Amino acid sequence: MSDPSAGRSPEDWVALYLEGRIPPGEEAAFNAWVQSNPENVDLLIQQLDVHGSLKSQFEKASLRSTGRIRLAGRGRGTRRRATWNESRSWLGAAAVVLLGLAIVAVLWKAEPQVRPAPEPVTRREPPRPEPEPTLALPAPPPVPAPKPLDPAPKKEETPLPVPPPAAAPEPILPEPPPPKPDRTIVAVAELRDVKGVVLVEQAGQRRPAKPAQGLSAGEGIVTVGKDAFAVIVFPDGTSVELRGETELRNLSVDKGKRLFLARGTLDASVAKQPPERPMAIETPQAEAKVLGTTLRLHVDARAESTLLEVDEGKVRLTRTTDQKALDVAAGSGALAERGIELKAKPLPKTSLAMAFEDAGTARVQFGKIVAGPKRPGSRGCLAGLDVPDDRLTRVILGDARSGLLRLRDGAVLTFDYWVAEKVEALDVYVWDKTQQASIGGTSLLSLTKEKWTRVTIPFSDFESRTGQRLQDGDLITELTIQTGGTNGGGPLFVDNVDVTVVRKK
Amino acid sequence: MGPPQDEPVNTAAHDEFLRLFTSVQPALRRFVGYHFPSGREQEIEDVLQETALVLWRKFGQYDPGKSFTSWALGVAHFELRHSQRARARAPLALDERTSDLLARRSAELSPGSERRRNTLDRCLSKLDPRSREALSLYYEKGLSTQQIAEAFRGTANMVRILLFRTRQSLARCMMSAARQEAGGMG
Repeated sequence: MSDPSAGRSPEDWVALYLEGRIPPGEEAAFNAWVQSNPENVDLLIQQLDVHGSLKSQFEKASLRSTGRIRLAGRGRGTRRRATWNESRSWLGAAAVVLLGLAIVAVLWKAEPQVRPAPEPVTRREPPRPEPEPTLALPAPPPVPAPKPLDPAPKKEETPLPVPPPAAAPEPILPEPPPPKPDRTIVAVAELRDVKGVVLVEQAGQRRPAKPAQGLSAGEGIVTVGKDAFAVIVFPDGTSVELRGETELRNLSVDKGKRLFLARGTLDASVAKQPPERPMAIETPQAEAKVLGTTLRLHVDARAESTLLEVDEGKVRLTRTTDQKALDVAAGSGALAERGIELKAKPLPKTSLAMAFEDAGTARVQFGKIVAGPKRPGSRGCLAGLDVPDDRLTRVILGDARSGLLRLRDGAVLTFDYWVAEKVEALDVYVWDKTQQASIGGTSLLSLTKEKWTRVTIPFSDFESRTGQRLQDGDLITELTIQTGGTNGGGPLFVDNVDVTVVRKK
Repeated sequence: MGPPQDEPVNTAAHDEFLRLFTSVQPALRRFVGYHFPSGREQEIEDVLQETALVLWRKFGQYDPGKSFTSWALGVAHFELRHSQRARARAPLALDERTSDLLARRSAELSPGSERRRNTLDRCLSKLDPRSREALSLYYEKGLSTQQIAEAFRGTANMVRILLFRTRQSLARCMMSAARQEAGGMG
């Protein structure tokens, strides 16, 4: 009996199939290998399932931690746009649309079509020569018209039950044209510095934004793609910067400035607001009222929670589900989530200070506390452990549960090192839990050998091999320091690992 | 149960179809995706849409006493073949027998699969940095195993094995985490 694997290992077959590179003529061998053993079927399903999950996971990493509001400060935006994943339940939408079409078709036969009444004329808008095209967001793709199926019975055999063929689908009725607007726009803010795909949303319609475009009450802004960027400027100088995949709705100034952040990130610089007219920033879970302070809001769309962090001043946070309110003072934070008590807690760490004297620490994930090369005033340090497979020596500090620190703009990493003469380089990288990425700093090549030396590396220099960078607010759960170069590992000692933030004035 | 063709739409049937369809759509997407692991997103979308249409049209023939998941995967299995022929697209690497085996096994494994997916975050955080970086380069940046091998100063085969084993570790971890969650809920 011939070998169904055709001499290839399961790793080979899986890799070739996942990459779509099964050599011509070997498809039959691949199928024979799968069919030869039920375990191979399970193995292939296991690999395909994890493969699909990973594709989704890495593509939607940014959306999982969506919704960051930051006031008085700026950051970079390098998050990616999701392309396909289960969060786009377009099939559900397709089903709803299909059912809707069927219902409309039935109603169409029975009753005359009723067009929606135009909105009341309250404002006049400058005449537009042509309606501007509406852009589709990278959300559920539109459902094309049903395509007629082959009316002849399909003779293909299938072991699973397949219903008989269906007749031609119902024709799709054209949608009535939208009523033409006849309104006057009263601009309450202006859109500036538009970059990338930026859309203005009004009553469910989205159209491309233009620089210096006036924004009226009720309008929203959507920035699409990691490079998208826009700034909203109010007459009092308050500015709100949007970037990445962000959706801001319902701009309002009636009782003070009011914004609703549905998802994404905004940075705002807020001028002093009248006490009776605070600026309110809403999220799906909470509302923060701002009179002129520095705060940060994180909206976790999946967990349906909002985390408020206050750097300066005091902010009133109201949970929308039960209207429970809490004043959160500087240096504190509060989590608004259903079922969790609303209370203030100390802010997450933005700095780190680790020395390795005498005893070990739970945060040493890889490495050993030793006396190490002698220094005045120090009794211990962290020695790297060899990783023979990778031919290097490594230390890892980490806290997978709470994280080592939350990164802030201007943060720098400083540590003491001692390396053997043969070590050519030191590499430092972190695991960024927010971005689900390993991101490294520039290799340190000009090393001082066999002598304790202190080095400082700005986190702004960190970049993955493919250009991904750390961002303000990212949660760092691991820090790795290891030897690099081609000479392999060598003795490495590390001590006094600090992360500090150089605040911008 | 479901609405025969050309008869007035039955609201109860709509509701029932929506309920069943919503519950099965992750499994459908997963199963169709099995046939296009390296992309061809448009083909996935086409097959899913055609499957959705056929499921709705033939909902009247669905036997409520049987598994809707199996029925839906059977329709998807059929539509995959039909779509490739009708559109004169590149043939699928999986032949009918393999596809059928995957559909059947997938229907058996479907319960709990979403729970397993939800544990991926936790399991990713348990990986060593090298494995995570390999995953990031492969899935996020779209590098080939050869390109990753160059970055890692290794061989493409080494990277394939690393990815394979990492996926295996993740699968085991996700299974275990989902089991713990289920135990905790029970």
